[in-house]
Amino acid sequence: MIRARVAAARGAALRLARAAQQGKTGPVVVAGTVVGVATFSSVYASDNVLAPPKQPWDHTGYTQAYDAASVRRGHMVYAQVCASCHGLARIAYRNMIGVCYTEEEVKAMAEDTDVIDGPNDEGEMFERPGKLSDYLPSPYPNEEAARFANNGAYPPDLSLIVKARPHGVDYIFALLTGYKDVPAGIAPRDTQYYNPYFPGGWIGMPPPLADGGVDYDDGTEATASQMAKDVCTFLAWTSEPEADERKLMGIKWMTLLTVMFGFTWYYKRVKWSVIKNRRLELY
Amino acid sequence: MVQPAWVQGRLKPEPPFSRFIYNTFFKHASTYMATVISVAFVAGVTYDYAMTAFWESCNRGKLWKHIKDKYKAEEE
Repeated sequence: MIRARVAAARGAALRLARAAQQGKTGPVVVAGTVVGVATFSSVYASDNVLAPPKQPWDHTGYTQAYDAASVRRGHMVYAQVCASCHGLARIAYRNMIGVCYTEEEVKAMAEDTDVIDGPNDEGEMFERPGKLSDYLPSPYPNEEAARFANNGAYPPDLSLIVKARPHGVDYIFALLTGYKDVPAGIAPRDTQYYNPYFPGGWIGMPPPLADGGVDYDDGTEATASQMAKDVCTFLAWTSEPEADERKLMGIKWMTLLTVMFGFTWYYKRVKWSVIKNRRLELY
Repeated sequence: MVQPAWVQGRLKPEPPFSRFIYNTFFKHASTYMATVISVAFVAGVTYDYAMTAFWESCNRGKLWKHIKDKYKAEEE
C-alpha cells in the first residue's frame, strides 16, 4: 500500500515537472491535488474497493446505547445464518445475560450445545451440555479445516470484526447488502461472488442474507436489510460490549470535569487578582 | 477601647446565616470532616442518580431493562 502511494506520488511529481516545462498552470493545480490526495488521504486506488456509505446507526453518538431489541435480533441472525461458518469465540453465553436475553433463555441456549470438557478421573475427554461460562462454539476446529471446507477462503471469527475492519459497522453492512451482478466485461467465477465493497471485488462468502431467512421472535419483518442492520448492531456489541458503560462513565466524568474546570478557573482568578492589581513602581 | 472593625464601619457585620454555617460546620475539625465526608457521599449518590436518569432518558426504549418485560409476556 505504501509502495503504491510512493509510486502515485512519483507519477504525480513527474506530471508536475512536465507541466512546468510546458508552462501550463492548469495541470499543475491538478497534479498538486493528486500529490495531496495520494499523500494524505486514506483512499487508495490500489485498494480496488468501494468506500462504504455511512449509515445512521442508533448506537453511535456520545449518549447513545445499543438498541437491545436489535442486538437480540442480530444474535438470532448470527445463530441462524452466520454461525454455520463464522465463530464468535470471544463471547461467552453469560455475556449476553441482561444485554439481549434473560438468564433462563441463555441457559437453555447453552444447554443445546455439546462442549468437550475434561480430562476426567480416567484421563478421558468427555462431552457435556454447555453452561453459562462456556464460550460460543466455533464451527471449525482450526483454520485449515475452515479453508478446506470453504474453497480455500477463511471465514474470520466475528468477535472483533467491527473493530478489525476499516469503517467498522458501515463496512459490514455494505458488504452484507452489497452483492452485485458481475459487471460487463468481467468473467464470472465459480466459487467467488462479486462484491465491490470487498477489497479486490471478489469474496468467497455467498450472499448470506435473503428476505425471510431468519425467524424473529418479536414480529419484526425479516428483510435482508433489516437482518443486516441487526447483525451489524450485534457485532458492534460483540466488538465493544463495554460501550454502554463506557459512555455513561464518559458523560459522568466529562460533566464533572467541566464543572471542576469552572471552579479551578475561578480559584485561579481569585488568587491572582491580588498580584494582577498590584502596582509595580521601579525606581 | 478599640472598637471591632465592623463597628468602625470598615467592614460589614457578618450575616447571621454565614455565622451559623461557620459555627456549625467549619469551626471544629470534627464537624468539618464529618461535613466533608457526608456531603461527598450524598452528592456522589445524587450525581450518579441524576446522570443515570439522563442516560436512560436519552435511551428510552432501547435498553434491555426497558424491553425485557415484552419478551417475558410473549413466552407465557
